[in-house]
Amino acid sequence: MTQGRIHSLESFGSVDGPGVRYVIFVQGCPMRCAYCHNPDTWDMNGGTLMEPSYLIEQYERNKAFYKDGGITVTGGEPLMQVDFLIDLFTLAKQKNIHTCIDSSGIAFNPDNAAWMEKLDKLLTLTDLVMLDIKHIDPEKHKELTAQPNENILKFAAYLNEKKIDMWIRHVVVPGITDDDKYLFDLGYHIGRFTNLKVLDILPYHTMGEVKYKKLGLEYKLKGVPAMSKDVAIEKKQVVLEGIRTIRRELGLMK
Amino acid sequence: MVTKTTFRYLHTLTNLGASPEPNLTVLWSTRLPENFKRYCAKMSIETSSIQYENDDLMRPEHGDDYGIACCVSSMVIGKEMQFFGARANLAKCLLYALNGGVDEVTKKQVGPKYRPVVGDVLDYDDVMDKFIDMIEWQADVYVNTLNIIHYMHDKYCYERAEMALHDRDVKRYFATGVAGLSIVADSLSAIKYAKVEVIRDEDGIIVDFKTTGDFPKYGNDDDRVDSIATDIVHKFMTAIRRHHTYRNGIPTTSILTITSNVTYGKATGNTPDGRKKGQPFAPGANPMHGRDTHGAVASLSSVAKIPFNDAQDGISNTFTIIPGALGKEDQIFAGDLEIDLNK
Repeated sequence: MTQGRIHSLESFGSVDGPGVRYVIFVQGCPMRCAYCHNPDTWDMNGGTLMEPSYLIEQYERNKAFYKDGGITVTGGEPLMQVDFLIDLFTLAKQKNIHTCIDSSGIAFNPDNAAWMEKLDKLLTLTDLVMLDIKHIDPEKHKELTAQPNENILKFAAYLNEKKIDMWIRHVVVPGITDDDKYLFDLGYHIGRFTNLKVLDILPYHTMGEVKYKKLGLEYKLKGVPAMSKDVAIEKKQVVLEGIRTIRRELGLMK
Repeated sequence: MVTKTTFRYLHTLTNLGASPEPNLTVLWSTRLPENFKRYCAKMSIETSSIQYENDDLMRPEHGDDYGIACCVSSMVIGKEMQFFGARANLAKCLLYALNGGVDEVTKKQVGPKYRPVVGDVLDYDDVMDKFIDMIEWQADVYVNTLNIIHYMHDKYCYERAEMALHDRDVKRYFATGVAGLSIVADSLSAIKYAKVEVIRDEDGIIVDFKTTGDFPKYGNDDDRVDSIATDIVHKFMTAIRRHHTYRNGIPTTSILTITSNVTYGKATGNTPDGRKKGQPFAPGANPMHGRDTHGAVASLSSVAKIPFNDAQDGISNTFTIIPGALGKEDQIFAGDLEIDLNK
């Protein structure tokens, strides 16, 4: 069994997939999103090594709580640890546990055949992928996360091809990711995927800032206010309009 | 059974507002109707003032016609009553065990002059031996004090009006309680799994501790420490049961402090778990503040391990959560809804 490099465990996750879920935060992420609220999960070498069997045991102890839920692996970037995910989800599927990966998609590497083979195996064990698209525009994406978004968008298309249920999540940050043009474009891009089940538009909050101070890191969004719930609801409508437009064009809806 | 009147009771929170007494307790069963469960959740979110007790656990004991008296005590209506009084401060009892009955704050000999801990590093077996002896003393003082109080209360202030509403042959409980369970569990865990050195004052009384290394903390669904908590409750209850009780009341105990945990904390010195002198205890059977680091399910699971048999007067857990963490806030998240494109 491949051990996972784990940041922390949350036994009561109610916002990371359907139902009440056992949430595993893995350690290590190559993205450097300006608004990341878990900068303590960035370091690829930190965390604690844990056996997949241990994590499944922890889940099974309290499975009565998770009857409508399952396991979500988030982080950090779960897809940096594909071998571990395969072992974990293999055990989970033996127990009929609903499995979910919350990913930025950054690790997706269509040019690496060996990695793709592993991914294909993993996807046969995965019920749901929550894909967090940080920005639809390639340049803006680089500014925001220090990484390109090309492979992330390819990952979404790949999941669609493999018919893996997908939730898209997008954080709206005042002045940074709240431009209606880009929100519409986001919707227009993801609307073509028929595996898209849920759209989560998450209002930016400032609760992560204190962690930067503790870690001695500079917080790039200092002074940016939290996004209000009302505005976030309006912004969601813009993305939905993009989804509708492309679906009409493709004849996917009336 | 859930009827329209059950809803009416909870609806008083909307039209009359919350009040400190009587508290509103929902006897929760996993088999309650789904809509009633949802209504409870809604009212909890709106008012933060509903208490939940485990009907599936209590019904076999009391049948289905029972209610909650006092704070959490389950009673068959009109057939049962209880003699109740205060709590035993288990954390202070542990400190008395270390100091041979000398109070760590007043420096007076309060408990029996048992042998204090010698040496600089606490040994788990040694401390447990001394602690159990001190619990036996504490239970003796506690039960006999309550015997005096309730005898005198009946003598001078018999509660005729209330007893007139009860059957002739009433079942009496003799309800004790404990405070500081999570502190004792974590302290003993520190002694067992880390290294706890004692710091003595000029009179040789242990007043502080230096703990090196990590140790499992109650509230994380970790049997290594949760078993210490359940064991202490069992040992305390066993000690209580040894004594004669007024009018042959059936001895019970509760792990319940909703506000007095602050006062017990004020009166108690530094403890080996790292809590500082004067700091509040956690309420009821709650894990200590900030030490349950694995989320609500793990935290509640630790509390749920405490056997009802040894704490029949109730095990209380105060649960606070921001509404957003209980599920997706309406409208912002689609959550479990399919994307509805026709709106």
